[in-house]
Amino acid sequence: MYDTDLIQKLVSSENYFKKREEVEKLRHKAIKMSHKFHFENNRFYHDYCKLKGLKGDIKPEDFHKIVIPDGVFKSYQMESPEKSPKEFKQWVDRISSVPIDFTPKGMGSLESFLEEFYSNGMLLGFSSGTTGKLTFLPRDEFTRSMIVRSYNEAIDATLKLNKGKEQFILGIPRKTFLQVGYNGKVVADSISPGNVFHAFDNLKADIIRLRMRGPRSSKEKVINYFIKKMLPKIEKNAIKNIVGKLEENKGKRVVFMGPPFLIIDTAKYILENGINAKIAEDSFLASTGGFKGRSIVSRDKMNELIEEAFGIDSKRYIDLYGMTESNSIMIDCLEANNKHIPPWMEVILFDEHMEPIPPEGKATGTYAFLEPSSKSFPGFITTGDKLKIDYDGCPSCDKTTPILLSIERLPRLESRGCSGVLAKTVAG
Amino acid sequence: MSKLKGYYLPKSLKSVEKQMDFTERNVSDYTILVPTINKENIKDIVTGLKENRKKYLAEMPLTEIANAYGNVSKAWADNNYKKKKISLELLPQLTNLSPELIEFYQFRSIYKIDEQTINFLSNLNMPPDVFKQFTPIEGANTFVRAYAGFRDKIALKRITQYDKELELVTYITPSNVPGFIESLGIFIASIVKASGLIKTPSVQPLFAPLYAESVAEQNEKIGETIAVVPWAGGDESIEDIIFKNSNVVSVVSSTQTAMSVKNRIDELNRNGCSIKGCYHGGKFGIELIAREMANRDVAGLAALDGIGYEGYMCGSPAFGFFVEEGGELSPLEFAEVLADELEKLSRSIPQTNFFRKLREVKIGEILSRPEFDGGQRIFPSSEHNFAVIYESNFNLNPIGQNRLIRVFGVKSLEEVIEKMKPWKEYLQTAGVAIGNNRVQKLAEQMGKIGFSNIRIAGTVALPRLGEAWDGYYPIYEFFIPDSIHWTSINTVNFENEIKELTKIKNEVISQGVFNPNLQLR
Repeated sequence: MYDTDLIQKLVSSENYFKKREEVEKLRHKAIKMSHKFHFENNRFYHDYCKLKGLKGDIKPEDFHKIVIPDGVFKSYQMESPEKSPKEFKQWVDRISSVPIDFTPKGMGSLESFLEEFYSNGMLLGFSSGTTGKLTFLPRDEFTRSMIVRSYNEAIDATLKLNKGKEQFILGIPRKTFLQVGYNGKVVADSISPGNVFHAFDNLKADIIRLRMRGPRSSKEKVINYFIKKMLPKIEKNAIKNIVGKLEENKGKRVVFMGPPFLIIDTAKYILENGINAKIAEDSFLASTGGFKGRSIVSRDKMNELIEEAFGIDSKRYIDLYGMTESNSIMIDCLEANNKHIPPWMEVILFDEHMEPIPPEGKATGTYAFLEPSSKSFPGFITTGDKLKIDYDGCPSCDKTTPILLSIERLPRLESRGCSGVLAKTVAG
Repeated sequence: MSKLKGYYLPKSLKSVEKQMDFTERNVSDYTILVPTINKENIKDIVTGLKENRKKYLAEMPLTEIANAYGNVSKAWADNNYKKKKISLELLPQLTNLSPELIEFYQFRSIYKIDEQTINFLSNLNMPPDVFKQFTPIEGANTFVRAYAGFRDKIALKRITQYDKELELVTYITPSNVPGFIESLGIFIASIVKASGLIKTPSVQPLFAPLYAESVAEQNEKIGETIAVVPWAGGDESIEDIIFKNSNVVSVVSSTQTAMSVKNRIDELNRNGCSIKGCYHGGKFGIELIAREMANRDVAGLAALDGIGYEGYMCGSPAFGFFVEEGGELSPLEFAEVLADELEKLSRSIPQTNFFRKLREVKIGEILSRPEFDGGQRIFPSSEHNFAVIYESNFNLNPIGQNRLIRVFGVKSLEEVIEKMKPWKEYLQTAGVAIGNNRVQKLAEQMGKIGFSNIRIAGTVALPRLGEAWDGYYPIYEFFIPDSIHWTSINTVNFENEIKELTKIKNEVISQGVFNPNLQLR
């Protein structure tokens, strides 16, 4: 039985400030419950745990053993899922912990195939590696609600937003199954319904896949040629749309969120064209995902551009760290721009010999997380990122959670990330 | 902390050493000094090596060279040899391979570098029949076959005696088989009476310098003709000096690195240089078990092949173990027995947690496939040392590293070989267990497809005297174009060899790998 009350108790902004031991106890209880649920309901996870000699009941010393590789979520064998709907559904069934009772028809576009799943209750949010093989995470209604809750609770612990009154300007599409875009949209809609502006309209999965893996047929080559021609214009238009919206909200409080390259390009456009788009000092800027595929701009340079173009203190520019596989984000505190690990996530770092590193002081290793709030798939995942974490927490704010000091992609794994997808998709 | 040199230079090049900058790498209680080589350093090194070669090696009798290397092998075979002790302490930390694995696969291959090997290689003379069929080679327990056109046959005839003088042979070495290629490069350079310059892999700059020191301990003059240094691969300011001064550049690395060196050497050759490039890029292997050999003894030997270098050697059976139906053990039963043998062997040749975790990652991906809802079987290790997966659907996917052993049942081995065609340029070794009466025919099919090494099960990761390598032939590859494709079979009697190898395998299980009486084959 999946204990939703326990999860809701855990995914709460209050836990950022409670005693660490107290939250840990609650978190461990939730992880054990979640593990048991997935062990009993997820065929893949059951076999995987059995292979490691684990059963339904585990202890905290077993936690590092239950993490599954992120590659699981792109282990389907077909090149185009929409062309093998039955086989793809069998794969989803095997990695999913909740039943999906419908037979997909497929045969159309990838976007319409994902629509089919969505209208039957299952979001297949995706991210892509540079090889273009999309990662799909099956999220049922409860798990999706946990994305909204996790983001909201993390934001509440940090930003103090005025629910229902905030004006959002999003540098992400209005409709997409790209997980990062989906998350931004649903979270903004939940905070301030009706006050969300999108710089892009739809971003179809087929286009993203084509851009990420390259054309595989003469038809795709032609489409790719035209997309390549069109995309710079789309990006330019998006920037103009954002600037127009910022001008419209001049002097007012807004929350502007997008991939960092879009924030930078918007700031540059404003400054180059002498536009006054200064928003209220208590506005927020938020970015996620880094600069994949684009030239990297240092935080100092970004701060400078942000202050000059938008007229807000750079401390109100927060960078977010999340993953397609996770329901949560790590968000900068305003006091010192330190990224805080949400109290409902257990982080495990592995050393170069793949041994778990004790969670003390400052430690660097391969990042794995345990997130019990995922009901439709096991949220216990090892990633291709190398993190440096300070378990002693933040010296500048009241939160009791560990902080993230740096992020590095591990070289042996393909570089990935939703922002990377966006960067490559819209790059000319 | 004790200091160790992550490089080796002849005594006569002490002055160069003084000019070099160093970085320190701490491993265990040791600090390894790793030099940063610049243009001037490398110029002095290659000039010095060539001068020393003229002075000490060019006229040295082969018996003296053979004697020196024979003594080096004896020294390393002694478990109390200080350099061996240091290597076994530090290499596991640098490579994550267990000391037992390093001893069994790497060091035991080095012990085979003896007088017999050197005499054989220095008097290579292939009989003309190698162009017609697999032919037994005198002095080695192997069959060799060469596939070539008319011109290549003439070219081979012309070089039966090494008439071309080689001054400098450069080896760029890989990290997946730590130590073996470095030692091979050093001793092969000596055999052709050339100085040897070895580029160490950044993962472990330790073994080659220790081995070179051993050679110098046995014969100071040969020691004067060896240099072991790291440099940044692709740095043209350094590599151009090296390549232009080398008669032979041998690269054993990823396909990307090999091709990048090839492009540079081709360019230098177009501009008047005469450098022979020998390129050994990434390859994959396969294990083929004939129905007449589908038994427990062979499963035990196949286990040795699966363990070797944790599956990262070019010849490792990364594609899987293909077992013919209709034998004493069905493919599924063979998989189960293989798991049993792996469990026993893994106690003598343990796996470190590093590779265990890498396997778990791959297993996670495989287990998530719907086929595991029925038809597939997993035989796990109760001690988490391996996993054998019996797969009912034939597929070719080179993912059998980290002791992830995949077993497939097939109607016939010939059918598997035919399906390997698309992988032609990546084929190297096949571990084979087959009745003597089927060997020649199957080997002919394999040679034509592109296999270069047909090794009896149990020896995939243990190269033998007289074998081909990546379709080339050691030493010959320094002198002749690459258009001849060489294939070898590393035994002349499969049935007898399986009995002998099984005795060794059983001894490994009962006595461990550091047993000084453990037989070498």
